Amino acid sequence: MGRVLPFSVPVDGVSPDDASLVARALEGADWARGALFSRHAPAVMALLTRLLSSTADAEDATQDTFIEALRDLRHLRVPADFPRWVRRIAVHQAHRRFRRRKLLAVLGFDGTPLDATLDQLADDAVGPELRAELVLVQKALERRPVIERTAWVLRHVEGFELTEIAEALELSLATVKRKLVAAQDALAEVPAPTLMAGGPR
Amino acid sequence: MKPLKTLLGRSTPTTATLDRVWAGIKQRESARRRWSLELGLGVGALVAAGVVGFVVFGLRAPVDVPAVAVAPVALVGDSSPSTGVRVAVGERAEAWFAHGGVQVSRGVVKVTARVGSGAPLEVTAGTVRVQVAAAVVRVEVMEHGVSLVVEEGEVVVRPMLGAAQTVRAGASWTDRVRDWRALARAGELAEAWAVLGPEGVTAAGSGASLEDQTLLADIAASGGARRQAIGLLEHAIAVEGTDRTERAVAAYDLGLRYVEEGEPRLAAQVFERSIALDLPVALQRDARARAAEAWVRAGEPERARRWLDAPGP
Repeated sequence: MGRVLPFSVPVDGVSPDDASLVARALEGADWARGALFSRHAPAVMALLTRLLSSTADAEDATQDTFIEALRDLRHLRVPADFPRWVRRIAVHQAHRRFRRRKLLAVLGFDGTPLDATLDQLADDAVGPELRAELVLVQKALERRPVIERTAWVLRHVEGFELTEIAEALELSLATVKRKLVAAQDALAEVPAPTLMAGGPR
Repeated sequence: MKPLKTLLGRSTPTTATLDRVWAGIKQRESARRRWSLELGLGVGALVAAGVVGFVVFGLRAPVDVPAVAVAPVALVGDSSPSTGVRVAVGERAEAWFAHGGVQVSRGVVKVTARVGSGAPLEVTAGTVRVQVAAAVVRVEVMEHGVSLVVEEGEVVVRPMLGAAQTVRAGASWTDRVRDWRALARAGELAEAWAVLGPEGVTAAGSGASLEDQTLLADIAASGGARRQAIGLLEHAIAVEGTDRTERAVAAYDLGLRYVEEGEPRLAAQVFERSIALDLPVALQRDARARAAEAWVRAGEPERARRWLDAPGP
């Protein structure tokens, strides 16, 4: 099968910005839809992989995220906000999958295989001690409620601003802060001095 | 402090993975388009039948005649001498005949009704109904409102909110109420709620199309009128003969509302109904998961298992 991934189509030799791509996509230009995917899917899929710790779930959620985003483009009020908007949809999709996992667990089904935990995603250059800390942090996170875990990952793994987390999780800023404090308190018990001190400098 | 993702280089997807995801998206969109095409062919057949019916019976026979025009078109003209009605549709306007009147959803339409005897022709334009008899009026439906200019005679204007009034030749009139449909479609539900309020939602919901009822439900829910939203959706899915996919989506929405109301059994039932109707592929997997979740919450895990085990897209 030939290559199906589309590439950004330059307009007059200049790669169009997100707002232009959204406008063209709304006019029905298929290449613009593909260009939006090409430009933002890598970051979205990486985010979903880190959130869900499963490559299969991340792939699935990325597909659903872009189907929803491209279908609902006309609801995007500020076209230039596409990256932020699509990330918010991605976080919603991650939540759906967390909910499904919880349900499957309640019904006694085996859990989703987690093949993309923090330690598994670490670069080759990450040393064994830090990798061991990542294992502990991952296990501690898995014991936390979904909202706390997601808020912590968005803040400390992804580097989201608090307002972005509040927007993505549809929570108030105060609630986000409370969830982060709760997660941080629980993780403080984890013997991961390098990571808890703010990670490697 | 650097975010931890800087250490997690292996989370970057490969090109092959992205290729696979994009191919999946195209495949699912293509399935949706196939459905649209089939629907389009069905509508096309109805349209053809409607045109023939209209030419034969004129406006006295209430038939649906679509007139999505790309250039100025005289729809009626001399084909309906008994009523003397002519409707000219402007470029990029959308208008059609329905229920013995004219519906305008977008753009400019000029209505000429030369004969004054009999019931006036009713033009529904956005939030406004205009009764035209022995008059010439130009009606424009804009994104956030409706305006009209009376060139000859006089017309009676009935805005959805507010009293009816007569507008005479030479005068123009603009609906000060913003078009709730345009607002809702643009995602400005709170503003649409501010325009309508509970009474306006009730008024607009009476006899509304299925699409309008789902929009109104969204608006009511955004204003905290959850029971009103549920009532609209319950009514929407109960009407047989409307489009199955639209009903399926309305049933799915209703399931979400029931979940919010803490009614898992009702939610599970309507999620199941949405699946039994023609729910778009993109929503089917989610509807199955939600049906299962709702049955668990309703204390019936065996029924939930059915949906988890069911093959799906």
